[in-house]
Amino acid sequence: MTSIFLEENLKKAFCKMLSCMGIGAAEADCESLFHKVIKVIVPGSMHNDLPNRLLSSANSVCTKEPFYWRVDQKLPHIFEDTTFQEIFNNWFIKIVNP
Amino acid sequence: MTYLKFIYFILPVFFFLTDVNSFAQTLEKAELVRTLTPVFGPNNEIISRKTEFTINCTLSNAQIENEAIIKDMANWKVTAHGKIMPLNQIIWVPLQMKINTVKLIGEFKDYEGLTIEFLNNAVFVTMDDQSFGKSRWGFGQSTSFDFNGQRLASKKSLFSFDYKFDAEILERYLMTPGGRFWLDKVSLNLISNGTIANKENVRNGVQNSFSCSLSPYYFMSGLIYRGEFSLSYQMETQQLINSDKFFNVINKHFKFGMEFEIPYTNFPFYKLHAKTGYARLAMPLTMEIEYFPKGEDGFGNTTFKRIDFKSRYEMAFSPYFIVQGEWHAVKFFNIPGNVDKNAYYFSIAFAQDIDVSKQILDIVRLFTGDKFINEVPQGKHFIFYRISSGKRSPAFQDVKEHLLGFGTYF
Repeated sequence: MTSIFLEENLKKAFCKMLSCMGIGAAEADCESLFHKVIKVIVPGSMHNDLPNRLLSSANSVCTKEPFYWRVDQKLPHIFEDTTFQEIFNNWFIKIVNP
Repeated sequence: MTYLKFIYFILPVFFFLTDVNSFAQTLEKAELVRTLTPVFGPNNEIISRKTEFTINCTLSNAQIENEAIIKDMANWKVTAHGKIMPLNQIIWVPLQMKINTVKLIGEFKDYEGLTIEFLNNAVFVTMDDQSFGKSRWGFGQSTSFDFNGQRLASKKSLFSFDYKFDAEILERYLMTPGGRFWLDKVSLNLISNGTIANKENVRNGVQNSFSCSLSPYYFMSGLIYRGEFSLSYQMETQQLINSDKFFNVINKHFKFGMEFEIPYTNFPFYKLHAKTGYARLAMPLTMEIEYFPKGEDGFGNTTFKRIDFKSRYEMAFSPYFIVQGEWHAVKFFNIPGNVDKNAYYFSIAFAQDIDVSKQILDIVRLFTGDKFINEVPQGKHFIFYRISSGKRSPAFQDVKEHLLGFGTYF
């Protein structure tokens, strides 16, 4: 029933999660986002709750169709020069499970 | 002699090699986490989501050929204060980036003293304090400190610094996983914000508050929005024109606050960014309403009721053209005489994202090549020009400013 747990599907879910946050670029070409620095491309007033937004979006996207995955409730650690690739490798992949 | 060589050298190597697989995966650590799990109905449709405790185990050197060993429940034993806890499921995904992580599903509870054993390796199960949904004490966690230095272009000798300090001293997550609505947390905060400037500016003023706030998130058409409701006790200070003191207490009062993001208002820029590939989070229109009942000043006089309204919006056209606007309105109640009952303030800022480090690295690349440069993290910076006019709390001084600023955020 759950989506097959492949890197390709993980990336698809990750991009869908980002687009939930309002990162429109995730819709068009998510691959190109992977090396971009995340914190400085979020408006200053939205920095503080960025980890909560990310996890809430992951909950919303990954537990639903077509993924139906489990999501560990762990917040990401985001620093000044964190990239989307690091968020994907160090947090997203670790919190989702089939 | 050849026979002896076999016994002393070949045989130990043989045993070592055959034994490698059994040592290939060693349990290094285990962590109890809250996990949100979809619950399915009889027709395999998702009917709800539940939060359960699961254990994430980290193995060293797990290999695909050992799948049977890793997934065999007989090789795992979870105990709590000496009592064996039943295991329901073992999840192991031999995906390269997750190959060393095994998730155990069972009837675990959030208590200490949980021990896990795998192939005779035993470790204590820990719980991450940063785990979402866990109540925790902490001072300094989630603290933000924004410090902006701005030079007033119109009056060259004057400087001003705007700051905001927000320390969460206690937070309790109240994760309620509904379809569209998430109640995130209740927190107690110490907040201080304001402006510190030259005395001649007469713009010195700070607001210090002790606040209890509740933060829900909600989804509309696939986009996430945030709200915040707060009750605070606040002390406002202001530099009075005829006073030598920078910070005179002008108001001590309760405050009821509500901040929310208006759904769909970020949709145009969300779509624009989808088209252009610009990755900045499209900010929705944010509104803040604060109600201040009567309080008292530092001399014991009663202060007036007031309502503050603040709104903020951003139009990020590209990394090189970001426009942010703010509009504030304050209404005082029951002020006698001809004193102005209303105060207004607006600011509009034009920002440019200047990737200074990238420019420098581009020059370095000429000498070192791409390979070296790609390994160096690149930061970003912003330069902005802000026009502001009007009166805003707590100083309520009528100012008209043209500011040139530089920062790592915008």
